[in-house]
Amino acid sequence: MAGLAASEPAGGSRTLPKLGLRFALVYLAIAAVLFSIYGFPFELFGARSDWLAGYLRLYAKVAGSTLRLFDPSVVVSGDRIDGRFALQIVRNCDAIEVNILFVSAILAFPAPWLRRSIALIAGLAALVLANIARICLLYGVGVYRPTWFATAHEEILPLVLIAFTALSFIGWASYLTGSGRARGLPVPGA
Amino acid sequence: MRELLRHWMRQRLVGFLCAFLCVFAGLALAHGPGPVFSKAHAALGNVLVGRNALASGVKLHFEASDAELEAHPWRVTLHIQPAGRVPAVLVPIDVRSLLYLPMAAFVALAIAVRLRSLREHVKLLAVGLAILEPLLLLLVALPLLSFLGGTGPIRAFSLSRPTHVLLQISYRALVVPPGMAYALPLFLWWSLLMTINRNGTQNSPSRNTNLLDGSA
Repeated sequence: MAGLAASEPAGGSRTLPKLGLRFALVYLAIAAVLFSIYGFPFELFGARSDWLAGYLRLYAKVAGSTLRLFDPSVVVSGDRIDGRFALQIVRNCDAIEVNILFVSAILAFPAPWLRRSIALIAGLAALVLANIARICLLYGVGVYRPTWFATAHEEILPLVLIAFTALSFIGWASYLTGSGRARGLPVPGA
Repeated sequence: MRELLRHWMRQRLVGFLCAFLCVFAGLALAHGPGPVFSKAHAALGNVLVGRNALASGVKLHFEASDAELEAHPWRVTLHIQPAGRVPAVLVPIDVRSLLYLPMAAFVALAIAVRLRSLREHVKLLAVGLAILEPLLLLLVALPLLSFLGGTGPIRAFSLSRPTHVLLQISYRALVVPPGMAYALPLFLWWSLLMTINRNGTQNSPSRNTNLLDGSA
């Protein structure tokens, strides 16, 4: 996000506010829709199980398989990862918030669809990998420094993940604006 | 030239990140303000809910007693006292993750960014915190409203189903820690910087500044 303003050429101050407002509105609209889908309280309408349960189990499986490379005692059952330390993958452990923020930003960005698709797929893959690394790190913290777990889980790693997402978006925005020169969009370093 | 600019921007970015981390770590590691912060927010909560009982007879009271703060320096407890001799329901609220850390993140961002003058830093901090504090309080209130409006054991008032849906979505999307704890201050900081940058550019076009390049 910072890259947008940082890349604004001195003479482009008239185009940026317009681009910024349009981008912000589209961004908010997409994020609102995605967050509404993710956070919809289906249980108020009689749903008995979380519709994301399968996705969370898959996440646990992938994270558990990665952890097994370092610790053969790791066993995954459902959304639980058991080993020398037990973890349960619940909502928000999947870092869906940062995924939604990133997806909304890329979709709202005025650039050709092909470039947006590439940024979306590669960026999301990087975010998922970062989150798997976060879960593995949390397991390590749980094993070696269990008293640090809450701080790492609730204070440090979410910050790292948000920073990673923001920097990742700055990087991808730079790639997306590479095609924006002709459309009057800010081009980094130009 | 382009490479040189990129290198310069990267250096600025690294400098900004280091400054942010130093300030944020300093604020986050400071556990001392916990009891004062909790007591201040308990008092603010009591001013907001008032002394009178709700129409349903339910009384609300926020508490952060010294005895409780010794064990949990960042905890405020909401006492929900129904009418009659029914025992109160206690709802612990972690003000560190819900209020303090997002504010610390915003303060660190506002200090770390390079602006044209100290005055702009002060303006950014003052306006940002004036927006962030009520916004965070509102977000903390969302699950409490839903809880008191029917999803909890005591119904203090009635809410329609669409209101519950809206409250639950907002709660899950914006409040459940740690998800968005740092995203909101980041967005606010970015929006205010864009505004400051735009105003600064309009006032002095020759000294255009931006997020990572403030000191012309």
